Amino acid sequence: MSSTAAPEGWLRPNSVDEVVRAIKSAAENSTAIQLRGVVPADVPVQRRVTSLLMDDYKAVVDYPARDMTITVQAGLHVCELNRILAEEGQQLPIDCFNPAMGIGAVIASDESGPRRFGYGTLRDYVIGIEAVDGQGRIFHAGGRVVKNVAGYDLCRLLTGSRGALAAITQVTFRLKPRPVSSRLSVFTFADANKLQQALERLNTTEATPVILDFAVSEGTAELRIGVEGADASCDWQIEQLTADCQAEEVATEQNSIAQYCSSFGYRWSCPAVSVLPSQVATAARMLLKRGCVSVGHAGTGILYPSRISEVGEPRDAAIEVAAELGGSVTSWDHDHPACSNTPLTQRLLNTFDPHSVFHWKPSGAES
Amino acid sequence: MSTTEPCVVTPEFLRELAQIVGTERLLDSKDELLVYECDGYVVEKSVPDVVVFVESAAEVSAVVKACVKYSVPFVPRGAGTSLAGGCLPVGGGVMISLTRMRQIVEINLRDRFAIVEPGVVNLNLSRALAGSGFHYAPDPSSQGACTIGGNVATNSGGPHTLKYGVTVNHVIGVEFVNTEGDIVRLGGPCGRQNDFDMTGLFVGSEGTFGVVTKVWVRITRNPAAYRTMLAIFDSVDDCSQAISNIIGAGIVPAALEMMDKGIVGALEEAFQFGFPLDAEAVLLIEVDGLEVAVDDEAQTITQLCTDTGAREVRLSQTDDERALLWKCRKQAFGAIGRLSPSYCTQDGVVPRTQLPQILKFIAEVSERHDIAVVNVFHAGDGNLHPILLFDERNAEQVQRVMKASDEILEKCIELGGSVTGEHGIGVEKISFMNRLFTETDLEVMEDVRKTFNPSGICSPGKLLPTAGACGMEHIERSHPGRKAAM
Ligand SMILES: Cc1cc2nc3c(=O)[nH]c(=O)nc-3n(C[C@H](O)[C@H](O)[C@H](O)COP(=O)(O)OP(=O)(O)OC[C@H]3O[C@@H](n4cnc5c(N)ncnc54)[C@H](O)[C@@H]3O)c2cc1C
Repeated sequence: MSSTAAPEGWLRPNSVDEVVRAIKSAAENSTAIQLRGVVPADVPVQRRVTSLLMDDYKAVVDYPARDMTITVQAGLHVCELNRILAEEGQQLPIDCFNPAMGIGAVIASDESGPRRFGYGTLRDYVIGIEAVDGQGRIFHAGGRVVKNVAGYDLCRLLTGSRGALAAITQVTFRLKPRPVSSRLSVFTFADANKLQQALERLNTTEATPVILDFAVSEGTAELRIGVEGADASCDWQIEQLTADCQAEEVATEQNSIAQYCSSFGYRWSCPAVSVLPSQVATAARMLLKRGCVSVGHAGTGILYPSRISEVGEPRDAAIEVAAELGGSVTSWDHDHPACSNTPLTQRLLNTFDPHSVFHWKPSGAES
Repeated sequence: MSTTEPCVVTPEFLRELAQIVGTERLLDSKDELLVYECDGYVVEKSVPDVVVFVESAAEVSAVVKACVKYSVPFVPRGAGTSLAGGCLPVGGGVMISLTRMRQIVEINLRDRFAIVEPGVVNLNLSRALAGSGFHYAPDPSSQGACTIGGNVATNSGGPHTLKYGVTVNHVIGVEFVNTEGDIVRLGGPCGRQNDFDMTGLFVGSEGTFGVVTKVWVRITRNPAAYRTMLAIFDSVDDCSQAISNIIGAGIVPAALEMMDKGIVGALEEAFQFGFPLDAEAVLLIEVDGLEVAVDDEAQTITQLCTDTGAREVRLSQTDDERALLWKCRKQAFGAIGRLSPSYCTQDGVVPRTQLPQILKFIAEVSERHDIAVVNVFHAGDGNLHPILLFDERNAEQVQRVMKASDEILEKCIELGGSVTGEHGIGVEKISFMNRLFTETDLEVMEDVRKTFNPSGICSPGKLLPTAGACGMEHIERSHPGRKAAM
């Protein structure tokens, strides 16, 4: 990774106008803005950097709970958001590695975790957005209703944009009801082959798990499956899944999904291998051969390798396995959308951030 | 492409197109072209100079390159069921018809995706999946005709998108021919990408970013069980309150559709389902999921409806009965012809709790302008489709319909909603864009359009008030036309 300068100054705006002023001033003075909580682009920085901390901009703008939508300012911490939603029996079902992160940063980073199998990702929940681009323009897209096709979908463009296009200042989400109850079962298998067979059977199970995770290490393999709903339907599903999995051992816990999902958080720093779900067990075996154990989301084809031996180098192993299986590798510190050099990406960057305020392109460098 | 420069289709250009697709897949005679002067939105008309029926991405690419070379605008067209004039060839030019690109390239049940060409009819994908235990979730009422390419361009919804999400939630990758004629791929079936969510941005771009030539869609496991109910109300107010209560109780049915007295009468005449003719409104409610769970959900919903004044909640007893109920709902448009010689379907959205207000307002507007309005719509999403009935031979009545439509859409904005939930802006609703968005919002959207379509050669005159049109200003609406309802 190339060197990135430590932020030299902090700014805690409490209005959108302050965000605009900061961005305009950075554009005029050829300095850079880093959105706090968002890992920036991997490009060398030869500029003074101001860190934009949105923590003081965190009001709930509108929460019509019966419409199951909420509009909040971008600095609201995810844990606070979820506390507010829980009071109404609702949730934003996104797993986030650091609940003390502002929601704007979470969207920019497109955080997701185990529940993405059952609930999807942030792109399925952000229905309205306000942001300030690198020219200091305040813009909006979407709205506050759950169905709306007016205008281009800039909500999705900004979700996962890692702060390279605009600073998100306000968001509207669609929400889900909180489940009454949940179960998390760990199914243990002798090896990755047995796990693969179970996964094949699970593809047509009648159960509707929200989590379908795996862990493969030398001599053992596990599936970690989460279900939600009324108690009777959770119990029925676990029974069904037990029959489908044919595992050597099953251990089930009640209502531990939240804890499990937050424990996944540290994975944000690992390289992630994305393959087809049907290739997960194969990829895990290939990683083992390269000295890496792996955990991840079998239902969505994401593996996080980590080292078990002197020889294992997770990133190298990830790149090799992804290349062999036709998948891809993403990691926060190496891969950034702003570094994708497709002409479209570069044109979008130049449109939203012509002065390279956000993506930290060194002065004078061509993209 | 400048907005004033007229586009010129020369014999040389036509010859070049014929070399690409052959003369038998090219239409340029006046009579044949008339069919393509409009889509499901018949208010504005503009005849293309030529229609080509492409069969591959390579052909699309060659056609686009020829258009660029001769500075002739082009517009993609699927089945032409757009209700917003998305296919209108504003200023003429080339219409690229995708209906012959109708291969289902791959179905991968294990990885839950399919790759289809853009001309595949929505229902044909679900038919191809029949018996596999999977289906393609977005189910617009036009699914028997509309194409997946058109669905991607308009981000289509449908009755079951309440629970399952609209098209964008099911599209994971797109291949398209850009405005230079190059074939570009966005997204794909693997979980994470190292790029912006270009696929998400592309879906709903209404044909203004290029021509879709292949789509990667998610396929969805069939639910194990359904319960389909019909709740009958003596007042529209109680019915809309019930919708609000169901959503407010945290229940997300698979579908929640409302039909008022006017439409129920027409449906009964057409299908003899046994709808109560004296009811003011009925709710079609479907829950799906695990066999162990659906009865409880159905019971809770029944209780909520009864508490809100439903005089009866009928549970559909057989698969045939369920199928007939859905047939009635999806073919509601066919029945409207019984009510009036012409009709105009609107598409607005309000927050779901504002349904009682907007329905009251629609009734007021109907009375004030003396225009009959019937309602059949995706109530669970707050997505209204008021259908205004009129006789197009009566010019004065036509003006009242236009006024009434605009007032309804303005009220949707005032109540915190939008002027389109699924039909799109097209040419129809361009004038509402600056009421929904600020000047800066539209400027940013225009910039985004330019990143994909810098010269404006692809689908000019659509979606944004600033979108350039070759030699032709946006035509003012003078007529509401006859449109299909949802
Ligand atoms: C009876 C009836 C019921 C309907 N019900 C619904 C409903 O329930 N939900 C709903 O959302 N809509 C509904 N619609 C509207 C319409 O069917 C949808 O918008 C549909 O997605 C259009 O598909 P199409 O193939 O007909 O596209 P077209 O009408 O041919 O085109 C629509 C737009 O997509 C663009 N386009 C088409 N193909 C491509 C391509 N390959 N690449 C790029 N752009 C392309 C066109 O340029 C145009 O802007 C209904 C329409 C009718 C007539």
